[in-house]
Amino acid sequence: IARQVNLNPTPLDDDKANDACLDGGEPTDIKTAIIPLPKPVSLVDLPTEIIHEIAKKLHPVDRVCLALTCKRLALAIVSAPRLSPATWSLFSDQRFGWLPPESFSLILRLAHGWIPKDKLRYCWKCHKIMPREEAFFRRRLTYKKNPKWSVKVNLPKHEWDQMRKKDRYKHLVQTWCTSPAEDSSCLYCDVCRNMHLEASNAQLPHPVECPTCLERELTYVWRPKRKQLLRRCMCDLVSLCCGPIKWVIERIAIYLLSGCSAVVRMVYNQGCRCWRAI
Amino acid sequence: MSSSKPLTLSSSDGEEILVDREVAERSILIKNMVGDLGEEAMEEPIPIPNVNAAVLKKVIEWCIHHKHDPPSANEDDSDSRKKSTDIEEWDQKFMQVDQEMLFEIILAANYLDIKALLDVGCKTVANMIKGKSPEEIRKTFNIQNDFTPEEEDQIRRENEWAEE
Repeated sequence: IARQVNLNPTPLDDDKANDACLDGGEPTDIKTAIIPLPKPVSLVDLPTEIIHEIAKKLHPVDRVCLALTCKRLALAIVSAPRLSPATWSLFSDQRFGWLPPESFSLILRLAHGWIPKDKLRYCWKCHKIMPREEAFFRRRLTYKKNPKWSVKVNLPKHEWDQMRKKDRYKHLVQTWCTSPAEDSSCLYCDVCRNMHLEASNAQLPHPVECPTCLERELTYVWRPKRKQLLRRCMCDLVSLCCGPIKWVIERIAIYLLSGCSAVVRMVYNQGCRCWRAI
Repeated sequence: MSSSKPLTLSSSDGEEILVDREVAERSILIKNMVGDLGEEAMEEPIPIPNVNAAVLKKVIEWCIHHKHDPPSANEDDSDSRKKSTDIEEWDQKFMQVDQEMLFEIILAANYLDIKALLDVGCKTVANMIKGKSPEEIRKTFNIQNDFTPEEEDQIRRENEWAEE
């Protein structure tokens, strides 16, 4: 973040007015110019060393969420002391202290309260944030099998059955890309879960899945395991066929070797005779 | 028991508050001041220019309750296991104030160099942040998002979690 994005906070309008007033310039807002009320202290106004103290008590995922609220806090969190194995163990399970922080809860929280919902959406199944772009899924879907009906497709079965394979895929992608419905990230939030359930008349909506996951799920065909007897018969048949072939190969190898040794011996004898004659 | 005279603290808004020396010396700033200037200089009110009366009274209330606590150890002590979120019940109730007062107490604790109070304040704020998404943190603390959509987009692109 520090390298790429400019984290210098842009001054707000009120601050500009107060600054102008202090500098003797003409204030833009008369009220603030006449009565310079003391600004109430907020988290953003705390000195960097205090924000560092707060950051020390936060899990890495909480740190990231705090840093993404505004540039001032991002700057303070970026400069905060980094987690070491010793400090990380305060937040992790003692038995699994060697494991680094996982990204699952971060993705969930960013999906719930950071990403623009009109551009991105959270998939409950693969725990990823995916764009709402048809082209993105056009590249990823295989389009090989015809997706079956499920309640997750949000269509009556008879309607789904009448659709062609291409239309079914199109429906899956379009639902993902254009649906105004909230994704399932709010179900993990204690505050928003109840509101969401109240809005949907206390009916638990089916978690939102991306077209890639839906394709995998709706085109999956369960096949019974091959019987052991059949497999053994196949193995026997293969070994039975392999026996004579092996025997033939062995014979050929023996003849070849003995032939080669006879040729070598003959060449050697001829050489010896020639040498003696000379 | 301490037989020394009580100290008078003068807040930024001019109010004078009488405090036991033992209580006031929970603040390292005041303790050092008393040590440096001597007993005689303590006849006069000690100015605390960065802290108003309401906040100073709250800080003194905390110091009175914790006056018998052992002095906090060095910096390394802060790495103890209980550091992350645990707050005593009394401290939790003490910190149930509005946000402005909470941040004022933290600033006062920092200024007066009361490590334990600063720690409790920071833990309280950390507990308010824990488990929340950036948007929820903004709502909780009334923070204005000054990242432009382009900058947020750039952050997303730099981090690979969005795509496969």
